[in-house]
Amino acid sequence: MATATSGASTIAFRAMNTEWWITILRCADPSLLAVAEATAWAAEAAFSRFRADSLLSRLNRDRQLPSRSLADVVGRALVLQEATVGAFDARVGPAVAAAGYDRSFERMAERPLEPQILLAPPVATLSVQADGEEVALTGIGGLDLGGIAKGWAIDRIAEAVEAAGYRDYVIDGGGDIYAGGRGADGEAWPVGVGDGLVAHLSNAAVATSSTEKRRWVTATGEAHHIIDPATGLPSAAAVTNAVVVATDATTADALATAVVADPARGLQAVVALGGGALIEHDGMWSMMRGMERWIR
Amino acid sequence: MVTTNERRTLVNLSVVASSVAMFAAAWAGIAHADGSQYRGNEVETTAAVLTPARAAVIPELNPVPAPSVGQAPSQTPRRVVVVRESRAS
Repeated sequence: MATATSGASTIAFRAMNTEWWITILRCADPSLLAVAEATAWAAEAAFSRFRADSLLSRLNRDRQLPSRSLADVVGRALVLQEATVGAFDARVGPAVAAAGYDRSFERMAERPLEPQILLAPPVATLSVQADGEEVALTGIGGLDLGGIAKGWAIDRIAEAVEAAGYRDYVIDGGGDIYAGGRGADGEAWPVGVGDGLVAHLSNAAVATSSTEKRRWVTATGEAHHIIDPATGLPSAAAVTNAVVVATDATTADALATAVVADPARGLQAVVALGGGALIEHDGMWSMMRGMERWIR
Repeated sequence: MVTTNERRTLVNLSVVASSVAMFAAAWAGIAHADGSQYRGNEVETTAAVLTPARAAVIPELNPVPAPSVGQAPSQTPRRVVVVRESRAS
């Protein structure tokens, strides 16, 4: 539903299995919000692993697919895989499913008896090529573009907003947030992060990953959706929550996942890419130097 | 050791105990230039005041230079309205 108040156009809707909220200051073009919503819907249709007709499902099934948008997302995933030295890896698709997350999360409760976690093929058994026009998979396994596709959709919406000439806006896709320009008070946008802190964002994105969300029960105990690519199992690292600020939502989402999956490699990548991080480990929040640029 | 929930409760109590003047000043600080305020999706939270960073002892973070990890800033009973909240989903 779109609304226009105080010179801002705002829309809230549900897509990609989560809540979206977008506001654009001094926006006189309601069609732009419709474009934004359509972009999120298109991303869901293209990158969901729970839709048999999605581009991602077709790629995982047919092993080769010509698609610029899919190649773009996969290409960025490969770049971030390299930047995190494998702490983020889209090839964990089979491992996520083997852990029990093999259907839309709302349908997880329908399973009468949760299975124990199965062993998925190592990520190294799959080779991925994305050349800008098409994606090809070689070997055993498949891709899961879950979080990074959401970040990618946010970034594409931000591009559309900027192309339309608007500079001050916020795009919230299920807690992944990109804040463009400044709020109506002329200051950076205040965004709540971590345990009651505030990040002041301007032309920056923030994402949060947690082992406390999307958890389920198996015959051998609880599981969650953050897979450590090195083991193929839900991460057992001490970091339970990671908040990452980066230049774009795609990067922020992937890095937040990487920090939870493999804190050492993930945090090194955050530093290398000029971002900032706030982590919860053993019930205590810690902040990396540099994060004070945004949290003050 | 104070748990996250206990700390949150303490912070919330501190917020309640803060003076009306402090609240009014903070509120004025986040009001828009035109006198309007964020509408519809406001979330109130405490604001952060930095404390000197302290190296955290986290064995698994050893590859990261210790000085690059600091203690999270303490929270104060100042109220700030945030436009949105980042969260895991």
